[in-house]
Amino acid sequence: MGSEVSLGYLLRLPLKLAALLVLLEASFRWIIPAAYTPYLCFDEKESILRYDPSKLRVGLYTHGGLAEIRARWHINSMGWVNAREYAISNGRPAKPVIAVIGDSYVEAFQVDSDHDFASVLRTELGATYEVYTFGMSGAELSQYLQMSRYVRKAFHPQVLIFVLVDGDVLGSRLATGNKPGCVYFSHSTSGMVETLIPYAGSTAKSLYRKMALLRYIRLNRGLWVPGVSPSGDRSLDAGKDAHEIIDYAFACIRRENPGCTVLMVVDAPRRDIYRGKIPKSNIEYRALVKSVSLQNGFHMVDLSDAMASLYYANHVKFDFDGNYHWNEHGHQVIAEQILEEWPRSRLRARIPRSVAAPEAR
Amino acid sequence: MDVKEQLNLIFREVFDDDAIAITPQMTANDVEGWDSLSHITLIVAIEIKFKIEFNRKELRGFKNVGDLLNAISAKIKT
Amino acid sequence: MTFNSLEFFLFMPVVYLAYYFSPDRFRWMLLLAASFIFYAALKVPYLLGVLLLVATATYAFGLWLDRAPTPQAKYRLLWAGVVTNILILGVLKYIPFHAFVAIGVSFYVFQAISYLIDVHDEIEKPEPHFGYFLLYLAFFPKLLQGPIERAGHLIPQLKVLRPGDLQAFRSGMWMIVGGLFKKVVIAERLALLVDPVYSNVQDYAGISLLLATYVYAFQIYYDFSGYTDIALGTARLFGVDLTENFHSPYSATSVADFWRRWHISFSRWILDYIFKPLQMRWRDWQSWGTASALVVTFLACGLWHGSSWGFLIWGGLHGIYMASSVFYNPYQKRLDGVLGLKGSPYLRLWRILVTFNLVCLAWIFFRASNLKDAVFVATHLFGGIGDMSRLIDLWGFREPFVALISMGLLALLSFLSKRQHLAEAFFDRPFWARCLVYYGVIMYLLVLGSFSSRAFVYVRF
Repeated sequence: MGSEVSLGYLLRLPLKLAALLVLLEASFRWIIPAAYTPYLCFDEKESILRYDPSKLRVGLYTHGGLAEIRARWHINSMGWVNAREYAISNGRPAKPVIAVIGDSYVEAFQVDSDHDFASVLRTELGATYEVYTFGMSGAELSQYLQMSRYVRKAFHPQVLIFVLVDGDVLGSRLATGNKPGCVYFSHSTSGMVETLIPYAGSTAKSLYRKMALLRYIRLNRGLWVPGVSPSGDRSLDAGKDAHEIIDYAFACIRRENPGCTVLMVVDAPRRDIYRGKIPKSNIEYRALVKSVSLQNGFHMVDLSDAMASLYYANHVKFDFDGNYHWNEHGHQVIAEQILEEWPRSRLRARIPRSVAAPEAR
Repeated sequence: MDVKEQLNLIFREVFDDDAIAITPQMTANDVEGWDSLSHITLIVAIEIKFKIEFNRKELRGFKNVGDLLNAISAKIKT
Repeated sequence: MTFNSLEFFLFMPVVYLAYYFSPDRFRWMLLLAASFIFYAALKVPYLLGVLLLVATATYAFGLWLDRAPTPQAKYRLLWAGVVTNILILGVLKYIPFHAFVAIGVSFYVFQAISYLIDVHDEIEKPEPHFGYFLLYLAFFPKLLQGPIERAGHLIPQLKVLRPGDLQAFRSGMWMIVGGLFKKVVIAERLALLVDPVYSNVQDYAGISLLLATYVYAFQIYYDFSGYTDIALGTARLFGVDLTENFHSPYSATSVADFWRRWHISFSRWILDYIFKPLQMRWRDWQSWGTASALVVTFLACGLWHGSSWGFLIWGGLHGIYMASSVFYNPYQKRLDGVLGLKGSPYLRLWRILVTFNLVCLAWIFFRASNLKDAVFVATHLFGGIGDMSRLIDLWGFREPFVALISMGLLALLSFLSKRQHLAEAFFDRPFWARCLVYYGVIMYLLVLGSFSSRAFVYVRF
């Protein structure tokens, strides 16, 4: 029979815990750097979720237990992850604009700001075009539509490139959508309805930013983050819901962007390529995107064939171990594929100006 | 031969060990091979030898050989 | 809530402090309230109702049983109570619903049934205090995945609740950390190796299937024993001693021995309440009676885990293993004697290997997604080595390496703590030295933990 747990012991415990926390905090600041991400903010005027340029402008993003993935990010004064500023003079940019819209794959925290596919595009096409990127982690196809409206108003792009990755279509449903500040689709008797989930900052969030330990747990290890789990049922990828979402979104994009060239870049089923077997559901899904793209006069850049043949040739993966986002090699391949199809897309995919003017929202 | 000696014989037969010498404090841990599978063999042998019958409730109450001895003695008397 | 969640780590200190400062007579109420909150946090509201239903019905039947005038009346009341409980469990678990709908129910229903049988057999007196009885079923450390406690072991402890002493506090905390380590560093990592193979068995053959099965045997052990460590450690903080559930199961020298070491509270339950009564009833058939009782018992064991063919076959296999041993055991003993093998360490090693492989064969049916997959795995285990490069591609070298090192460290620690008084030596050291150890352990957990999928395996039973 040992001694009791005395009150003194209990009172000393928090002190011991504090000592431990100090050690842990120091470790995740200097030994294994915990990730930093920019501050979010919601632009009320434009109804768009973006980053706050008045707060952190540069930072180190890390991922993984040992912070194996490390990359510097930079946000510009318009609040988007990009090493360069977006120039607007008198409401119209100097050079024609290519606007790339997508989610965390376009944000590309995992690679340095000048090594993503948009930078490669800029290098090649920079003489003729400006290449602006608009990426927001967690955005779905429904939010891409919303972002395209903002981009149209602010930058009048000549080319719109949308990047569609796994889950973007079915993730657009309001039933599963939960990112504040983003738009989701739902059905009503009068057709598809767009709903914006209200955005509100929280003190809890700002607290967790200050502690390296908490940032490490949430960002590097993905623990205790409320989030939508990806829809596990792949057979739904080409189902009725997906069909309706793609139809609606693409039709809106077409209607609202007369005179614009639109490219739909569709990510390859990389995991299935590594396994060596691509499921029917994915083939049907890509066929669906292709047919709706053609209907609306878009050009679809399907990365599957290029990535598959490259992988089978040299077995180099396009993403990181433990993080499915594209690595530098992946970004390079994507840029090359877009550039390869560039001439074809420019000739074929221009939406005629005679399309009716966008309806008032 | 008293009950204890007869029971000892049964133990020796069931567990195939001539060296067994039971005491009232002995439990299953003390006899090699006495586990739940062989327990019933022992009980059946006891029932046949002494012409008695146990019910499940009684069996659950036995904690050691001593309890077994008492139960057997009680049953033979009635 | 589950043990590996943020809420639990916030919940625990609050409950502990309240418990510590609470007057003795209110402690059971506090634990009961905490257990309700714990169960409610799963966000399946009707589960609380089920718990109350089972508790009320069983409590009532227990009292009626005890007061019944004749043995026949007692027996009928016993059957009424047991059937009620089984119906409740059956309706929840075996009618197709969403997978998680019956969390915890299988465990406390079994506790309730054992209580009724113990009262009927006059091994226990019925508990007149409903609060203690309810807490006996609802006690949150063991609510979701057991251990399955006997009334005689747990209820008396609930009547004299006080915080564990200093040694219990420290060892309880270490058990919790150890359990997390087993789950997050080892079991989850092993799952990374097993899941891709078992979700696409047709793509693999031969050695890949064999390895994945062996790895699964360890995955489920570390997962379930990790959970049990957290449960026992948590209870210990509150001064409650729960039953050990595992005792080096893969060092078993026979399948019967395995079941004395694996999910001990469960196997003792099926032994006492299914096997022994059946064996008694069929004792005139001697070995055949015992063998049949074993097969039925283990089929029930399989069924308890779920209503799929996989679980039934898993249970049935164990039943057949045990039943056959009843017949060949005497011959085996004679053979060992003749060959002069008795007491040989090689014999022991051989028996351990054979037992492990028999158990792993059964695990195939437990783990596979469906019967077709299970049969495929079982029939293609020796299909050659050709697949190895694929497996290396899939697993890499880092994950298996970290898993092995972690398992080794754990084994070393457990070996050392048995030989020397490791705990005493450790707590004699000054705080700064111990703090470094705590720091090391937590860093190991955070940095090398695998955090992809997170539910414990046995939560779905």
